[in-house]
Amino acid sequence: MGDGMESAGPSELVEDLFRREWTHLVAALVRLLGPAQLALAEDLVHDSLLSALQAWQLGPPDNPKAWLLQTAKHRAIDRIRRDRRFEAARPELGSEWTLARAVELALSPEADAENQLALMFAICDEALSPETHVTLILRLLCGLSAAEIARAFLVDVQTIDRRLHRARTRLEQLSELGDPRSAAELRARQPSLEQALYLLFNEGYHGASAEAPLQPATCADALRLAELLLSLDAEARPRVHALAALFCFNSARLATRVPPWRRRPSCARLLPDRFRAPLLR
Amino acid sequence: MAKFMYIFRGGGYATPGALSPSELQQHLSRWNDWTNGLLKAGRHLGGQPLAHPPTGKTLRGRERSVTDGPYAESKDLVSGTVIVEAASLEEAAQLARDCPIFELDGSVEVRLVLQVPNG
Repeated sequence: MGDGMESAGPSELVEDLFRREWTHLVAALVRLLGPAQLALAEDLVHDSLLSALQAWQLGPPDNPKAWLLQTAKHRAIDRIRRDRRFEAARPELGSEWTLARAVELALSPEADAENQLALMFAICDEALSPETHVTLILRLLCGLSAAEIARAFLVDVQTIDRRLHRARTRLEQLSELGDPRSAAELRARQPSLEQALYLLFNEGYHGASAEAPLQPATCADALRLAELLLSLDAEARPRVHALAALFCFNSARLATRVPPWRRRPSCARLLPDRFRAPLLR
Repeated sequence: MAKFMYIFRGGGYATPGALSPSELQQHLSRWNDWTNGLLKAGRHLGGQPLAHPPTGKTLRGRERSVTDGPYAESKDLVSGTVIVEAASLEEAAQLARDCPIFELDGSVEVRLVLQVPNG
């Protein structure tokens, strides 16, 4: 999944660049600005993508990813400078000496895994329902719009909007995203997080939507997030290994469930019609 | 052949938050397809996309009074221009039909560019 772009010309974008960068930048900015600024973080990233939409109409630049990162960085710095509130929460954001460096570090690829993990653990709050966990993960860590989530869950957009609103209000009360490596109360949420990832994979594997029960991108996201969780401490978590293995096993069969003549993999194949060659190799 | 200017209004940034990152990227790739089509056909003579969010100043009157920003509804804001070559206004309008801006409720104004002698 997501491959097959090798043949594309140099000006072609990686298929899910916007989605991946959304996840990376939102997690980084929420970590940097604090969960109380969740809506602002989402706006800053969305605006950066819109800038790209505007600037790349004649074709993308040589390094689209770096372009997006720079744009988001400048937007964040401009916004922080105009708003003295951030100084109280993070002293390094209040000084011109340290501001640019702090933003750069937060948005660096090295900080990405930890930012996304911190956001995942913050989302899997016991005060929120399991379906809200999945909804928030789909929104913040998979980059789906409320309308896309509503289609996946087969409910109306207002229901998802309300669910997201309640969840955001809850997250915004947190003073910071804790580090799951050190905060024991966050690690206690691991079972909820594992359950949320399982539900996420399920949503991709046989989702509610009759038109598009298969969402390989969602399955890939569930596996990606499970692997992130594994990177946290690999030996100590056999359950996460089992979960990732289950995702891998079922993902291997995904291609045979998707009819090759459909460009958008929207319709499941019945067993007798499945293409079994990939399994027998 | 005559030159025409496409003036784009509204589109992507007039619909905040409604589109997911993937949908934005798909929209962008349709823009690229459309402009590449015009380029390959030798019709596209250059474009000037404008910055988002719309930053600018407006000078007005004999006093050159300066105000910040273009003041317009976002659906009426000019988001960029493109110059194309076409045999007639009708053909130029026809070429604009496939522009992806209409998916997001934007508009394209097609104007004949005056040929300046020795220009």
